[in-house]
Amino acid sequence: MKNQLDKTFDIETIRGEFPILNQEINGSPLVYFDNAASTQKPISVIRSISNYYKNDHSNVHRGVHSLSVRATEAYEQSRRSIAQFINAAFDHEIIFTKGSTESINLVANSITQQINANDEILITTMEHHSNIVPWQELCIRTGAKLKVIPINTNGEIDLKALKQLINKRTRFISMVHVSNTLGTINPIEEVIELAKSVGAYTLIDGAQAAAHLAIDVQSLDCDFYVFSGHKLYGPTGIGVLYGKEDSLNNLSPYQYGGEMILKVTFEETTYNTLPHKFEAGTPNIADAVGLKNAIDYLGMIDLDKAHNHEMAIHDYALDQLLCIPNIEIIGRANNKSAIISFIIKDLHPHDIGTILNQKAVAVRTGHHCTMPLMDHYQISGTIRASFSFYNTLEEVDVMIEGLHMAINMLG
Amino acid sequence: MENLYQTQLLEHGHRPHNFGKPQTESIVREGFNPLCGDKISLYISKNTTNLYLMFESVSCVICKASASLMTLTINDSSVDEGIYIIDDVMNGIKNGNIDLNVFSGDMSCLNQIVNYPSRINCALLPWKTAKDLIGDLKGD
Repeated sequence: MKNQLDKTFDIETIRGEFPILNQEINGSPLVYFDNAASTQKPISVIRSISNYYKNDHSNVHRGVHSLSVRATEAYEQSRRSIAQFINAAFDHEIIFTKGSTESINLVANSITQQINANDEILITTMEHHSNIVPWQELCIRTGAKLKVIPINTNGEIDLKALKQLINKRTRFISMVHVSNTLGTINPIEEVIELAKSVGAYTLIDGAQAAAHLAIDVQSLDCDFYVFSGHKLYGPTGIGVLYGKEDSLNNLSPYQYGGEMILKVTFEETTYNTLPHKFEAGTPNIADAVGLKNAIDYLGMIDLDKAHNHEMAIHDYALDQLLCIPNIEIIGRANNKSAIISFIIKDLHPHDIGTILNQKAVAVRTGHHCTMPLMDHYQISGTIRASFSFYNTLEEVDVMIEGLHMAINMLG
Repeated sequence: MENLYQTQLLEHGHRPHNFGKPQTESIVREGFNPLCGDKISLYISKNTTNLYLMFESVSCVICKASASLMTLTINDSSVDEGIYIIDDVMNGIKNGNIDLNVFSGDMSCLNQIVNYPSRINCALLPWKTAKDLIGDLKGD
C-alpha cells in the first residue's frame, strides 16, 4: 500500500524553518536529496548554538562561577533530553562522542580485554565501513573471527543464515538499524533476542534510524545504540553512544585525561563513574546544546506525519524512477526507510550526479562507504536519493527531469 | 554543463582508445579512487623502447576519457618524456590550462574540469596511476 501525502502536514511552515533550503544553486532552487549523508538544520538549532556562545559559554563541571554552572546545566540538560528521546533508563547511560563512528570505535576498542581468539563477532553485508573496520581491527588485536550475516537480493538480512551463524562463541553482534545505502529497516528486535540467547553483546548503528523511527532502547534491550547529531537535524561533531549501565561499566576507558578520573597520583589513577569515564577532556558543549534543540524541534512536529510524508515522497519517487528505461533499483526490502539507491545501465553515477547538480539537485553518488555491499551487488556505486520531511513531490519531478537530461547528454 | 560533457569528452569516454589488455608481455598497476570507488588497471608493455600504455576501467566518463587521451598523448614517448608530459598535464588539469599549442586540441575538454572541483580526481586518476606505473617500470 502506497503512502499518500497528508494535506494537514504543513510543509510550507516546516520548509520556512530551514533557512538553507531557500537558495538557488546554478540558477535553480535547491533540491536537497542528500539527507542520509547529513540533514539540514532548523533555525532553532542554529540560534541555540549562537546563543550558547553569546551568553552561557564556559568549561563544564568543576567550575564554581555562574557561567560554568550554566554551561554545565546546558550540557547535562542535553544528556537528559537524549536519554528521554531514546527512553534510556538513566541519563548516565548517554555518552557524548563525535558521532556514530567514534561511538562504535569506543565500544570496539574498550571491549578488547573481554575478547579472545575463540570468539566470533557478527556484522552484516550491508554495514557502513564505520561498522566494519573497528571490528576487523578488534579481530586483529585479539585473534577473534569476523563473520558476516548475508543478505538476499532485496537487501534484507538472511535470518535463517544468522541462526546458523550464531553460536556460543558469538561474543558480539553489531549491525545497522537502517541501511544508509539500501534504506532497509532491519529486524533488530529479532537479532537482539537471538544474541541474548547466546549471551552476546549487541550494538545497533542507528545513524540512519534516529531521525526517522521512534527509538526505545529499553524495549529493544540492546547493549549499545549509537547515532550522530548531524543526521538528526543537529550539528556536526556531536553524537551519542547509549549503553546499558552494566555494559558500559564492563568496558575499559577509551581515552585518558581530565574529566574521566576521580583521583590521580603518579603511582595510580582511579577512573570516574559513568558517563564521565568515557568523556575525557573538554567536551563539545555547544554542539550538545544544538543537539538538544534538534530533539526539541523534532518533539514539536508530528513525527508520525513527518514519517508518512517522507514515505509518500519515497513512494512517488520510486514510481517515477521505475518509468525511466534501463534503471535498476538497488535494495527493495519490504520494510524500508525513505532512501532510494539506483543505477542506470551504462551511465556512471558520478556523471549523473554532476548533471543533476546543474539542476540544483543534490544527491549522493558512489559507494556510500559500503564497498563490501557494492561488491555483493557487483557494482561500483549507486545514485542515492534520500528524503526528509521537508522535501516535496515537485522536487522529485525536478530530479526526474534532471535524470532525463543526464541520459540525453551522456547517452 | 555542456562545457564539461562536450563532444570530445563523450567521444573518448564512450569509445576510448587503447582500452583493453596488451597482447604482449606487460606489467600492470591498479589505480583506485577511494572517494568514489572508481578503478583503473593500467598496462605497460615490457621490452619496448618507448612507452606503450593500455587500460581497463570501471569508472566515470571523465576518468575514461582522460585515460584515453593520456594513452594517445604519451604512447611512443620515451620514459623521461612520458614523466615530463604526465607532470605537465596533471598541473594543467588542476589549473585548467593544458597548453593546446603543445597537446592535441581534444585535450581542451580536460581544461573544463577545474570548474567542477569534485571531479578533478576523476580526471587525474589515470595520470597518477601512469606515474606510479612508470616508476614501477624504472624500478623506483
